[in-house]
Amino acid sequence: MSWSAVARKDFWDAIRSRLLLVLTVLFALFAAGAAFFVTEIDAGGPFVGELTTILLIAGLVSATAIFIPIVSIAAAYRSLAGERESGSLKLLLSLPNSRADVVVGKFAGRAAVVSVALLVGFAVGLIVTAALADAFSPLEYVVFVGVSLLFAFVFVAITVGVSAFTSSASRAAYGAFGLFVVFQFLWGVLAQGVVYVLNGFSFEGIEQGDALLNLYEFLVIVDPTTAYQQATLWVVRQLAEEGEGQGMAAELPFYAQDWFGFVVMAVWVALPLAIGYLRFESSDL
Amino acid sequence: MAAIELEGVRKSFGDVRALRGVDLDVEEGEIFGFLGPNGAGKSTTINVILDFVRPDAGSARVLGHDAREESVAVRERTGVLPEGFHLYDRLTAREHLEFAIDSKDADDDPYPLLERVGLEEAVDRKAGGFSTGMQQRLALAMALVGDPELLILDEPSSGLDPNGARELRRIVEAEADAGATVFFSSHILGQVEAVCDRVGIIRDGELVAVDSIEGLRENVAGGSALVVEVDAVPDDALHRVKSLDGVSEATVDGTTFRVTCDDDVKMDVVQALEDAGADVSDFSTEEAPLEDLFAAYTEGAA
Repeated sequence: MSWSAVARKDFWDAIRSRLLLVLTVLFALFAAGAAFFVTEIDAGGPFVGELTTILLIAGLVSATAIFIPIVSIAAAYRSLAGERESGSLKLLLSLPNSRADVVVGKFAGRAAVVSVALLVGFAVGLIVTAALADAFSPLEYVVFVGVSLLFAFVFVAITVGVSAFTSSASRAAYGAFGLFVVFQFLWGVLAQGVVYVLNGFSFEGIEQGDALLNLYEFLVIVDPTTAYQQATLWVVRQLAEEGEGQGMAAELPFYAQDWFGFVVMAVWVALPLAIGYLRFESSDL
Repeated sequence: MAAIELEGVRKSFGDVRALRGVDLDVEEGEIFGFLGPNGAGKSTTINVILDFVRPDAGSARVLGHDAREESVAVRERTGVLPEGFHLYDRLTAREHLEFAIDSKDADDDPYPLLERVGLEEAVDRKAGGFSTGMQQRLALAMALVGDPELLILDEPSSGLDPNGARELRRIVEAEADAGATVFFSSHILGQVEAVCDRVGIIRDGELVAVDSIEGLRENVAGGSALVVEVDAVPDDALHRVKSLDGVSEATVDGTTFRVTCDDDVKMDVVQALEDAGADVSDFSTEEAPLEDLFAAYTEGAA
């Protein structure tokens, strides 16, 4: 299994990068700050009463949805393009590693590196929260960390996939960051645009239950960032004793169910890696 | 069985025809020198052998495997020192070797290999601080992992001092004695002539000669040069000499002509100089310098 050799090498190489150290520290500060903010300040806000871990998670998820992709992109944009640019890829491929080994190994190595960075940050957040929250449930927090790692893997996979397309590390960084901007800020507009075009360049006549409206909902849901929030929500609901709205949720189509977020994220890990591999496999070094 | 078999390999990059139909057989167990000026297609040929680039036409077989379809099987039994490679700056010499050992599923110990290439002092130093020569040594140690049956060394002496080049030669010879095939590229003939059993010369994407050094010598203009001392050099003397049949190369330095030619036209050369009005004071024959030989193949119409 030579992909594991590539992954091991890549982990030890990338984890010593200074950029990663900086990002880990930033993420730790962010996690601590967010935990403090949610427990101390937000507690007096709309959520009067006992501050629960679920509340904390709900407060954290919109911020981690932005921070995690940035850490993942920074850790992975050089993965293939950087090695191609410098020439170390020649060393890597002189050894009996197939190109599939390289893509999978790179993904695994960088995913491990990002996991370390995020786990350090979340551990700091955990300590702050445990110290401040009234009712703290480590289980819920740990599950949230797990979902967040899966979300990080999505952006590692996307970035490795983009990195396979170019021999310039900076172009890989722009490409991956561009995709992040699309997913984070433009996706909803694009989904609306698709519906607008398919409806004959207008929004008129679209009603509840229309195929086009369902398509719109589906498009919105397959965005990785939405999927992350949805999956987090699902986990939180599962853990909450009385799942309000659970009955209502059962009526929704499969793609509107919260668990569908996991499916979407799994697809967003596999698809970019597959596309990146196909491109990498067919290109001359 | 041939260790490397190329048949009609063609490869273009945009408008540039890097390889224009290369046929090449490298026998098992031989040390083969692959020579050519920079840009002639040496690295492209090696890149096809290693499946780094895919040929537009033709086939490549290495150690009995298809270079394209069974590249991993090829690289399992091959040690490669690529050209223009880069090490992992943040990994130590030992970690580089551990990676190679892991990838090859070999059971080597990193230390003896590093000792073999003279890097025992730098085992736990990060490669980011290595000189070009040390980088070259480390990559060579990685190539030696797992006792490869075939060693492919692309411009291995670049960055090595004379001492390093000598050590490299010893390693190459030891590997060949142990039964390995060595394929060794260079743009400098002097580096390959001492070790290679046979030499192939590539020019403009075409293989122009494959022979032993002695064979090449015999083929080029009798392989010897005529050195003629004259009192003065008439204007058209050089031109007259060059235009003689059997003369492949002629230069003048002060009052000394150096002419690479067939043995039987030597007297014609002296005669032509006399005819041009020069007084010949002395002449002698010397074995053609290897560089002339190489130049004859890579520049002239050999």
